[in-house]
Amino acid sequence: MSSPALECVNVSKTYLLGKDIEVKALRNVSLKVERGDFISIIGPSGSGKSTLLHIAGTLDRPTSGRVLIDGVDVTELSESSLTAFRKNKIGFVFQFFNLITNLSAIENVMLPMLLSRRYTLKEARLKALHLLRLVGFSEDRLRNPPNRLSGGQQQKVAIARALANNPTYILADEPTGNLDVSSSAEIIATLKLLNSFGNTIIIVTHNVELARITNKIFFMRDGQLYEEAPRSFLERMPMDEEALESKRRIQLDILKLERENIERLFKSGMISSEAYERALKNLEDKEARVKH
Amino acid sequence: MITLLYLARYALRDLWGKKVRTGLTALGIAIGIASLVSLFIVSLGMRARIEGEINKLLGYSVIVRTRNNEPMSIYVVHLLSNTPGVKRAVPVIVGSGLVESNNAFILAVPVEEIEAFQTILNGHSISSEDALECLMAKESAVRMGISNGSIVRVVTSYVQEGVSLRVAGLSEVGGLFQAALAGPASVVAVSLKQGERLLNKRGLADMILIRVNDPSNMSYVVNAIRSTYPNLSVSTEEDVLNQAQSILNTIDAVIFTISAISIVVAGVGTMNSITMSIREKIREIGVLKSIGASPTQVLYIFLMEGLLLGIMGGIMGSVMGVGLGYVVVKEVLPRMFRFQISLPFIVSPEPFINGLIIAVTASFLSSLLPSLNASKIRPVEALRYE
Repeated sequence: MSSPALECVNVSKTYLLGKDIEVKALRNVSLKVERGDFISIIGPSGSGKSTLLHIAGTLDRPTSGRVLIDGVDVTELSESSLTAFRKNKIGFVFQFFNLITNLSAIENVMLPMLLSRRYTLKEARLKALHLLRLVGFSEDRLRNPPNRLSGGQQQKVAIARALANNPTYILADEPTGNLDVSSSAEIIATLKLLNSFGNTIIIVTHNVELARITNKIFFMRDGQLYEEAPRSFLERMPMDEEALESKRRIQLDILKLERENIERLFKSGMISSEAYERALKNLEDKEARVKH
Repeated sequence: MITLLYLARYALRDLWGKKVRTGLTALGIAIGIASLVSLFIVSLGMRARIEGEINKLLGYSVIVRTRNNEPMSIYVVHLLSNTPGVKRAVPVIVGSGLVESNNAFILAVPVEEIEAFQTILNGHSISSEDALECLMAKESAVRMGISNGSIVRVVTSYVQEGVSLRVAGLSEVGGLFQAALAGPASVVAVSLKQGERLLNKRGLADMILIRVNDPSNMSYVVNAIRSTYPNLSVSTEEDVLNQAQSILNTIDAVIFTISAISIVVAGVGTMNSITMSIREKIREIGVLKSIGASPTQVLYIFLMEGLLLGIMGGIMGSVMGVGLGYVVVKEVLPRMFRFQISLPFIVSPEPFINGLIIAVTASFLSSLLPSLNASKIRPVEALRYE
């Protein structure tokens, strides 16, 4: 039986802020990702999702615990070995696309292949072309630089780039976080398609719609990883109850200020009684929605 | 190789994307290189001119003086003439005086040898030892309103009433060797006999120019004179050249130090440009590293940017330097001094190659430190950078 694509064993990460302040970003996180898995990690901001992603991507090292990629323990590998590992085993997709601005769409996809020195220029170009077709990138924009592509198009190029060296898994950090609804839908469909073709994909996201299409959803909170997110989280905003309650209170405060403002305007005769009644009704509706 | 070419193209596009900054940085390098190249051209011209002058004057000759630079008896000329291998011994008298109330340098040699010292442009040489004639440097003659055939009054401390001489010809001036001897004074060449009278050196010579009958006998003659006449100092063309070289080397050291300062300034400009480029691209460096670029490949990109700036600045600077060198040699120097310096304008690949090598080296060195720092940036930190 082949080894898992990624295995994190009791991974902890502690940052030092200044001399004395310790921030525990990850606490004994264990995660096993089998080949062909499509998993998502969701959780509120600051829960440690990105730290886990960086460690899974060998961009950062854990304070304790082990990270195994394709059965190889990479925890203690040197920086140069990690570079080689990343090049061949891991594909990255970022929220802000992070394409190389001086290179065209197709050149961006060719770059990891050329950095790996495993491809000739011709091979790299042909493979890049196929990858861009696979992700649904329009072929008449192959030579466009990133600044002449839409967000959705840029993210497709980034996905094609992540696939360039046929990685063991793709790590996607908020892949739809910076996209409009229709582009998000396209990217979600693309990722789903790629997974159905056997690509292992790990997504970190706030986007519940995106998380729903994955096979396994992990939930992170306070640096700890839970299998299966609470239902309420999936149904509501990707925010924990405490934070949600605090946001609710802030929203109600804003509505209260709004009501006071309308009453002042009405008393000073600056708005008519009909306008006052209408505004009041709107406010009451909003309040009811927030309280519910 | 393909990867390196691809990364070089990346560096080139990065520079192209910031045309103004790239242009200004390359211009900074170009100015430094232009000053260096132009000074190099001036120096080449000076060397060529001095070597030419010394060669023309000495050829297969040596100069003999007394060790204390006192005049020696003309008898020594006869003695030296009889030394085996010597073709001729030419006595030379030098001194100062006034020509039409202007300071003048007086050079007296036998009339048959005078053309070895002065190239006559107008008129003719002095007709005989007894003739009351002289040759004048053309530039000083023009300045004093003297032309061919004019009568000039030459006064020395020994002949205070002066001697009237007819200007038989105007000679080429501006030789550096001559300029070094005479400074801004006019040069007047007279026959040896007139020189003896004007400078009160009858039967004396300040120096003796020895011509050998065969170049292969040169060292034999030099050794023979040195061993037979230990009180005489013998300067060969090589010795004179070496003396001139040491002066030129000092001048070179000064001008190259000045140029070096401008190149250091250009280097700091390049360092600043590369540092800015890296700061702007920190996130991109993080991306490059996350998709597998090694520290060496990142180093290569930014070093390549520095090198490209150096090549651009070097080429621009070399071309500008050749132009500037031409202007300095042909326009500035002749107007800067009272005596004319006409240097040859020598275009050789040397200043180009040197300029380019210095520009590339300076850019390489100044981009090394920021590039090394860029290569060491940890991807996770670079990706967080906003």
